[in-house]
Amino acid sequence: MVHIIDLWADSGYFTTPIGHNIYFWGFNDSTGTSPQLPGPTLILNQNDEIVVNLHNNLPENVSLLFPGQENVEFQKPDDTWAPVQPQFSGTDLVSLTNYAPPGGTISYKFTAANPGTFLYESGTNPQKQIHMGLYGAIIVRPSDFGTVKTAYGQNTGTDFDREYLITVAEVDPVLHKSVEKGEPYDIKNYKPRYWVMNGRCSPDTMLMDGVGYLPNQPYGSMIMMEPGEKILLRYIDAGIENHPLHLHGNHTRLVGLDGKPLRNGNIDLSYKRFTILVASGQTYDMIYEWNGLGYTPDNPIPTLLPSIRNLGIGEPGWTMWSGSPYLGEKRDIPVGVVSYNETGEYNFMLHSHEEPQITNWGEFPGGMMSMLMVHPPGTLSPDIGVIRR
Amino acid sequence: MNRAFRFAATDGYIKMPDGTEHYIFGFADITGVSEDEIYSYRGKATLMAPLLEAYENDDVYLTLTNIGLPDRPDLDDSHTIHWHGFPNQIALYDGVPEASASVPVGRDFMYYYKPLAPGTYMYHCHFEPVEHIQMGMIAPLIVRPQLEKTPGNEGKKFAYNDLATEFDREYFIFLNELDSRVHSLVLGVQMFDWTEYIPDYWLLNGRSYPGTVDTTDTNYPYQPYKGLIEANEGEKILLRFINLGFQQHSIELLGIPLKIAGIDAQQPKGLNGEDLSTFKNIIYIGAGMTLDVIFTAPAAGIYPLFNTSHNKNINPGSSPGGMVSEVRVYPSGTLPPQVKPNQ
Amino acid sequence: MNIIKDLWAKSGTINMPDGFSVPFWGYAESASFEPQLPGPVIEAAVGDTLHVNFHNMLNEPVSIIFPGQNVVPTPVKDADGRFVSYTAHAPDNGDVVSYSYTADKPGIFLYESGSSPERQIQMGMYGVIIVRPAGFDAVNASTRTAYGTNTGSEFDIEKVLVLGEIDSVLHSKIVNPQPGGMYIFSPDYWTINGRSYPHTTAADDDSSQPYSSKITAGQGHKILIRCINAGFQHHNIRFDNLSVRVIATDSVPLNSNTLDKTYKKNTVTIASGESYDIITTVNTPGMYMIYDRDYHHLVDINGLSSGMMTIIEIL
Repeated sequence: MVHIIDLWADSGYFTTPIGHNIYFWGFNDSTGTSPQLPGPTLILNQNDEIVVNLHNNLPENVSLLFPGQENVEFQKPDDTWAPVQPQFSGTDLVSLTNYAPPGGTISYKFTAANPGTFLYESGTNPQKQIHMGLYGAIIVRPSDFGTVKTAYGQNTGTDFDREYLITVAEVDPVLHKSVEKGEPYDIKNYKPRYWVMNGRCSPDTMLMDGVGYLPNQPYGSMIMMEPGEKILLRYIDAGIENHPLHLHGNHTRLVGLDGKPLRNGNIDLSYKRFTILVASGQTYDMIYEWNGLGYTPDNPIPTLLPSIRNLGIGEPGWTMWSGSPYLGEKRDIPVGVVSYNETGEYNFMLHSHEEPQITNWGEFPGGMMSMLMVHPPGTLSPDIGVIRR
Repeated sequence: MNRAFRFAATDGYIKMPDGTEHYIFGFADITGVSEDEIYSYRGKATLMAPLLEAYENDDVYLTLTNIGLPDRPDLDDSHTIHWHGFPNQIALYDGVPEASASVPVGRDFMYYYKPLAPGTYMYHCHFEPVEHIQMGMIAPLIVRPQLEKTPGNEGKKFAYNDLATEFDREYFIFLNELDSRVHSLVLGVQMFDWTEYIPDYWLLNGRSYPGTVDTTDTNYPYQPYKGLIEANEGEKILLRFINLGFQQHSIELLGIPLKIAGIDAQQPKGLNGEDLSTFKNIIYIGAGMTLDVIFTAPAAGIYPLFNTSHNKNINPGSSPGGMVSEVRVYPSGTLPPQVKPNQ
Repeated sequence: MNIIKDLWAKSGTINMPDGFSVPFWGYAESASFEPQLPGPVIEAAVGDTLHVNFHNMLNEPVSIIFPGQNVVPTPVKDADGRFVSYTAHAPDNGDVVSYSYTADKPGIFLYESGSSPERQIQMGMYGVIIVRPAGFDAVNASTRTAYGTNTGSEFDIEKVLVLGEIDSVLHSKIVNPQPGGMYIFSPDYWTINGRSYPHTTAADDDSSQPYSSKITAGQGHKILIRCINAGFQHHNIRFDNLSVRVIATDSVPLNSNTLDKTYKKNTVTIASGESYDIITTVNTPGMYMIYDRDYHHLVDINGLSSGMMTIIEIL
């Protein structure tokens, strides 16, 4: 089946929680609207033939790389197809692949032969364009994807109940400003001040998809689950730094790298970690499951909880704690503290362990941080944790 | 078995080989100290904080007492303890202030853990972690396997419930960095822009070379763990690497290949027990990861240990320094059995 | 078999594509030859005994360490018990130190400075030793393997890529020492086999950077790419438009008779000091880029395409 996708490379603005409106370049999948950060997630089915038409509304050449896809071709002026190639002017590398000039269009074609998580990104002036935001994710569903949801097919140990995608990157606002003003920028001075998950800095990472006041940053990074569910987490690093993403609450089982399952034949090579060192340009698929320790009011915790006056609760003015040790129960929290806990959820932080990256321009909390939120059994809608276009 | 620990959160000072002193936050061990004496531990934090050790299936009761920062009386920060990597933890005992509660000055909080998975972990404060971790509220944590208590295995030491992980001596090697400006700004009640973090010291077990191999008890009173590894020929040595800095590090033991025995407190095994372990010359470890290696002590001699990013093996203005240490191997029978880690 | 290699530690100059020359220290194959970056490739087979005689033509102690190989270090310390060198050294200009060992496992290994390595390795004192498995015969396809039969390491074309960084300001300060100033390592050039793109794709030559990084192969050839990181930074090497299979790391094959732990990637993270052996087969002719996905390592002072980048050309 041929799947045609149109993407526009365009410019817009995105926002950080400290009120910084930053100029960016990104992809957009409908004409006339603003691009988004990251670009639209493309959801494909294994063996689909994909044609991507890239329309360039930016003032310089733009292209698309599809790491992990095989036999990528581009359409020549005579309408025939040929394999993509790096573009040179003498020995100068003009672009890592065939590109569209400003105002032009280029079409790419490939067959999504392998299920998994993949990155798409610009291959032209990548040291500038990828920082500016020209990247996005591709999810390829296995051909037997259906009521049983898996990442790599049935009997690959990759069954899941809910799935989430987190694409991380760094932001140097000086680079963005220089591009906005058309001024030169020396890459040696690169200094990230913000770190993003799905284009947002914490605490915006913890908001839902499609939040009204972040129109160009449509994807949240809040991981919601119920106990015992298998959660497929797809990580992508679109930045240039390697980020050690640590999850609280439990280990996670790594089942795929760069869109390839950690299996050779029937041998399962998956392994567990509590920190995944997400490296530049690479993708990671993992299954996370939280089961808890069985504490309930009838099987109580073995320690005495101090009076809330002797606890530090909501010191920044808000808390995500329920006030109770037990899942599904809410108790008193100090008057005047705003509660973001609705039904007695447990919250476990998911964050870069290079702690300066969990700040917004050096102020904690912020940056590359979100939460894994465990909801009481039976309370989470089946619509949560479904990735759609 | 019940184990009770009590740690006090306070401040202190540490030393570098160039003679400089640096202000830190940290924990001090006040297990068993009577209530009217705990405040005498103010200003006595150590880097790293005390090792927490337990066995699988123990009932661990850890009380955190916030005794304040005598050299920052204006700062009434709370603290927490986060057992990094504890499987299936509940929010209340996870130590993240935004998701549970923290411990204000003068108060106590008791954490409970029943560890079910042996291996190498770490614990650290999670209140304003970017500051509190850099300032030094970090420590190693070891969970020992029940295999050690089974008939026929008394007196033997294992990293995991696997006979192949038997060892004779163990050392934890804790990696982190120091940006000395941060420590003096915090002491001076000044803010720091964390995007400007650039370390100037690199530490193994809280010390910089040649402090890492200093065996006196007097030169580093608040940095109680040295980075020196000692063994008799032929012994099996377990190294527990823990990275709680803000950078990735690559460590090499010259002349000694390392068998990976565990990563993030998990043996390297596939879903069905496939043996994924391998030998490495370099171990590359990111912040928030732990890595266990076992090696067999080779012929007697001195084997250098260093960060292969040699720019981190310096003290400001002098080298060698930083993340450098030694593996000293002695002839068979020279060293008596090890009683505690890093001894 | 005995393999005898004499090497001289000397100072020289290397050239970067932006026109600048950078002073460096490297290994030379005779007292009168210029040093080269990286040092001369040394090839041996399992069972060979390697004898390296190292002659010092610099004015400070020099030594060679052999990470990952069957060599026992014999560190030299000063009167305060601090390391001067991580193994036996030639203390001054004119001195010689000799090393001998029997190669006991196949693979690719670094030889590099064990004295003031934060300066000397950065200055260029590194090179590669390739150890062939027992029975290796380059002419016989079934024995032309990296790690022996049954390790999935048969190859048709082999290329060694040594990754490095150069902090040219630091190099100048080392050859012209000035008082004061803190050392903050800050590279401004990134290299493969001692050269920066586009020099990486020029042919082998007789210059002070003699080794090309260009890979040329035919359709269907098994291409063995042996990446080893002699630098201080990690590098995320992207094999563009290809999927490659990692078959060994730190010269330990991942495929044995009992278990195949090899895995496919399109970008491989190589930490300082690590090595990765990678095999790929390409069926479509054309050019395929290999580069550091940390794009800052692909620019020079003019911001042009430069640095840690090379090309696979499939004919």
